[in-house]
Amino acid sequence: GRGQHSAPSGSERSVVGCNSIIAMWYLLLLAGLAAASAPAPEPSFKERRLQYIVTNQNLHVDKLFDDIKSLEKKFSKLGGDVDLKKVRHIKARVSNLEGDGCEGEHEAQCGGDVPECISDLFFCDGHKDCKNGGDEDPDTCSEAIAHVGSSYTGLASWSSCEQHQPHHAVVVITSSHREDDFQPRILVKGVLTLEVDEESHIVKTTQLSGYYNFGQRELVLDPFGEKTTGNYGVRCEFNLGDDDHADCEIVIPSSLHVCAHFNAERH
Amino acid sequence: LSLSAGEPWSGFAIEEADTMKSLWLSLAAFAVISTVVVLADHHEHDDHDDPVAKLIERTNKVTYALLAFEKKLDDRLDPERIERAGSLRHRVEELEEDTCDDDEHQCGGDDPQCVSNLFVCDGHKDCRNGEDEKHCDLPTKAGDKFVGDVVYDHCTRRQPEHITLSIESVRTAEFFKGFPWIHVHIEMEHESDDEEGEASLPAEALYSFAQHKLVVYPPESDGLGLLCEFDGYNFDRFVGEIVHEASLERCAKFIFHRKEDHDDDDDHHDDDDDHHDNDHHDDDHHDDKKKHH
Repeated sequence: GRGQHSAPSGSERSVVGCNSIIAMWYLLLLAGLAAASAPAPEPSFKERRLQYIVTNQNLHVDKLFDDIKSLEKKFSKLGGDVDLKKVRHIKARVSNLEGDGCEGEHEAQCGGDVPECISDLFFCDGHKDCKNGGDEDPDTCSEAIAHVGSSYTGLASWSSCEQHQPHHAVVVITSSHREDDFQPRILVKGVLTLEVDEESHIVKTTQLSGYYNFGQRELVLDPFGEKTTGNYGVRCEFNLGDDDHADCEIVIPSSLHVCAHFNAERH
Repeated sequence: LSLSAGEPWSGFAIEEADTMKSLWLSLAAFAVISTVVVLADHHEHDDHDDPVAKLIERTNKVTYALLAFEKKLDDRLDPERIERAGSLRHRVEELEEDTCDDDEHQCGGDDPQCVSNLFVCDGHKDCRNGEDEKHCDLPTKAGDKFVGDVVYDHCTRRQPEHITLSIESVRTAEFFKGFPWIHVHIEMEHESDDEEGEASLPAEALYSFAQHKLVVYPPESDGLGLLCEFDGYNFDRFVGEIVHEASLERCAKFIFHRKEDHDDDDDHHDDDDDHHDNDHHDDDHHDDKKKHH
């Protein structure tokens, strides 16, 4: 075994080096086995010498273990890794600042490395329209946002329309349905709840109905039912890199005038 | 360990790399010794093999622990990760206001400084942090090919879907290293109603290290040149814009990717959690290959 194997330096860590080390251990084991199968008388000096060497080497290995432990400790003190969620979030914010370059109001970006805009009516309709197929991407076409029972909560601050102090607003999806022959939208119904007064717990609820638009990643909800006048609609844009956070506005449905704004989180 | 200088942990990593070296040396030394011991004592009694076998097992464990730790270290220093982070930083810088004049280069780092573009990669340190002489590896080497997909195109005569830019040769003047002359061919296929054809247009180009930009002078008489801009971190991709030479008006845009010899599947660089093991490693990333003067 001597000279078969030179010490690999710290920088040269090729797979071959690893393999040869493993092969060497393998040989060692074989040698050990061979040794085990050959019984012999016990020259006590040799025996003691062997024991001495083994003990020594064991101590050596202990030291190596300790060294590695202390290195790992040092390394872990250098701060943890970045949270992937945070990175996604930051990337989404940068993307929002850059804009997607799609001129038309009803166009959306295919994503990927080569920009391309297509109508949001072509997203998730089962037919590939983007060159890179981004419009049929499973992440883009995830229905999670419009699942029944999804609720989005945030602190609404009113800039006009009402004189409320900031309070909680909750949007809950109560039904969701996708037509077989018109896939690019999910038809949803929901409820908007405004906790306008924390003291008396007066709660104002509005029945909503609308749709989720895959291409724009937008939830569009307008008042619906008996009495729609004087009620507010909601627009939520899921542009923060995941399905759990949205930028929502409470609007007057006819004019789309923005009355209040809340950063919604899924609960 | 490939380290990019100027990173706060590089000092630590070098120190650790030395420790690693000595660990490996002692491991190897131990391996030799134990081999000798086992071979010399191969007529020993059963009882002595037990401790030896245990010892071998423990050594394997140490080796494993060491490799696991090295992997952790490598993951943190993965050049591809550093490149992706750099590209994101570049996008933010693009959104921010310019910190230097048009003809100046930002040295960057925690201590910003502007130096003239003419001083970048001229073999003489002008930035306080020396950044202007650190990244002087030409990303467009002779023989490289880049394929561009059209984003929009309002002006080319052939209206190609793809353009291939092949780098034919590079000439660097010893006394003016910051701006190598590059001879390129622009290749494209075009289809119209009555004809199909291929064109391969020879053109001269100038690379600027200061701006990570390749300026291809108009190959034809129509006065349309090609401006290729790298982001400064990812040198496998650039944005190529076709501009009118006189007005510098941009009228077409292509996104170019380095063409590998074997066909890579596109990986989306916008996911931090995908690990594509591309087995190519063009070392024109940010290695701190110090130039010898």
